[in-house]
Amino acid sequence: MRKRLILGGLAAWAACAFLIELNHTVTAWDDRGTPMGAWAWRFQIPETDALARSLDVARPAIPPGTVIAFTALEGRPQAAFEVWRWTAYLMPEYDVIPVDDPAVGDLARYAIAYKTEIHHPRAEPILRLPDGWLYRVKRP
Amino acid sequence: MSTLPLLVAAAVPVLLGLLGSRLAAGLAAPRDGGLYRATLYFLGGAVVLHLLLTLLDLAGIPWHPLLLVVLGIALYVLGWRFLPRGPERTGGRTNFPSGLGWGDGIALLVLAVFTLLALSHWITFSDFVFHWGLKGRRFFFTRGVDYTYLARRWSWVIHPDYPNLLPEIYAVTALLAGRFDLSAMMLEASAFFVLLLAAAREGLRQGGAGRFTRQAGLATIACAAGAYGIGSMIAGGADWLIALALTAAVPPLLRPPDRAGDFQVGVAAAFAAGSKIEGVPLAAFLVLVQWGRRAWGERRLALGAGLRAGLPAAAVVLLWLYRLSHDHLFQALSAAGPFDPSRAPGILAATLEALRTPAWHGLLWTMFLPPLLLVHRRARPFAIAATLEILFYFYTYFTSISAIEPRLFVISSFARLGFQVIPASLVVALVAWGESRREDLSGNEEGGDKPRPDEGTDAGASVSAAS
Repeated sequence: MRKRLILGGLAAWAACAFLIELNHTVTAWDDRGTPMGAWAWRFQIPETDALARSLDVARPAIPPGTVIAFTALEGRPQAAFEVWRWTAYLMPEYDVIPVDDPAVGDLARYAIAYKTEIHHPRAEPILRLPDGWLYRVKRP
Repeated sequence: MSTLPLLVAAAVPVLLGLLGSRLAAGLAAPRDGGLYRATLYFLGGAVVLHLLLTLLDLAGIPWHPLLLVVLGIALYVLGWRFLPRGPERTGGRTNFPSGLGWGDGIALLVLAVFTLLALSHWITFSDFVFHWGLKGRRFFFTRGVDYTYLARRWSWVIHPDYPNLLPEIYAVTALLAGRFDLSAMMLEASAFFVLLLAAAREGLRQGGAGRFTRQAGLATIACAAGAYGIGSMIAGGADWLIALALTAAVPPLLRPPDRAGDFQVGVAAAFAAGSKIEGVPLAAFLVLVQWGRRAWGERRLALGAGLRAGLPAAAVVLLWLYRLSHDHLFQALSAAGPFDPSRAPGILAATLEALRTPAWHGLLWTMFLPPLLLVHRRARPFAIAATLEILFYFYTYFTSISAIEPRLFVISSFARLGFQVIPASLVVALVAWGESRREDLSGNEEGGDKPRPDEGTDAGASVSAAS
């Protein structure tokens, strides 16, 4: 009987844990319109939807396989890193590299600035995105 | 959410299971229940797929969907024609040899909730975006593992040296569906959860746990895994595959070594090795333990037993090492520095902090069950493999150059590493605990926790043979 009580208690504990996490998750879903930093980005929130919209506008103008330099203004530097990784996921047919990568000058043919702008003699703006700009990188 | 990708996502595990079922003669034991056999067949089929895709990559042949279908059918027909059939199942109920109970109901409920949330994309793992899903999408577009892309200097963030089984499954699903659909990939995350619970259920049954223990154990494992999976949002990650592989290895490790058990351990090890970098040492530990049991019991390691347990994992690991070397992808391995004992206080403090991970609700402590299970004779083979794996986690904390300041490294990984061993550890602990009150499990149990006459438990045979 004692063993049953302990086992039942363990199962009940785990079940409570599951219900608590379910409640947290559903509550977070209800609050998904609340702005959140890039470190906490997930699917189905306004931030990732907005990024996807901008990239969808840029995509037809860029040939597949192209190297794209990417920069974003999204709070702290670590957040820009996260946005860069989200962009890499959303544009798997391209090589997306950070705009400060040493290889950008040699490899990048296009650049995307998300919620910011690039001011560089070789960056020629070619398309306004919903939240940023698409640039062609001129050859030296 | 469109229907075709979801149908394909549901079909891929079934097709892999069908492919793996051609290995039934070596992979299935008569006592194995239908759900567990399906799990083993999936693991076998996934390993075959992984080897096939790796060989196509080596030959420079793109993964055209038609080619994949033709090769799959050809392998199935060849297996059907030339490989012997599997053993007949023993017991009255072939698919649910232990009958259905309240624990199964709770597990199904948890699965349904997890699946709904996964399909909503709300609990998609961040590493799916940064790593597993990104690779899957890339491999889908390039119709093969894009080693050039992985070898780029800036690709260090996506762990280019990790084994690729999970992205390959994603890419194949996308190729068959015609596009990469997130919902489809999340449905496959649920499929891994289903298989994990099927393996846990069988471990409890074959281990000889009584009916109440089995039901409570399955409910506990389902709720704990579901709570962490939902709370820490890890749908779509490879940790499920490691947990699945280790749990699937429990039944053969709980019974005395036998022919089918060698291959079951071998396939589980190969699946782990193909899934994630932590799976490679796990595969080694599982195979070494099975070899050790064979050598200990028979005073020698027969070649056949050694090959059945070791060859599948060796094939996966050797091909992986070759590609790493050929494409200069070594990263995690080369990131290991000297063992640094001065990190101990930081690692201890961070570990204690990680043990309070909210989504675990204290259950993360159960990842330390394997060292305790070393004292139990029948649990010892599993306990050795799992304990070595846990020691490997800590060894990484002491040696990785990424963990020079260990707090962040430990905090960001420890709870997830615990997830890899907790389901299997709970199964073995419950089996061992159920046994501690009585050595005779042949059916003459005391109290109300006894198996019904039609449950087909063969724990008595297992215990007798182990003795």
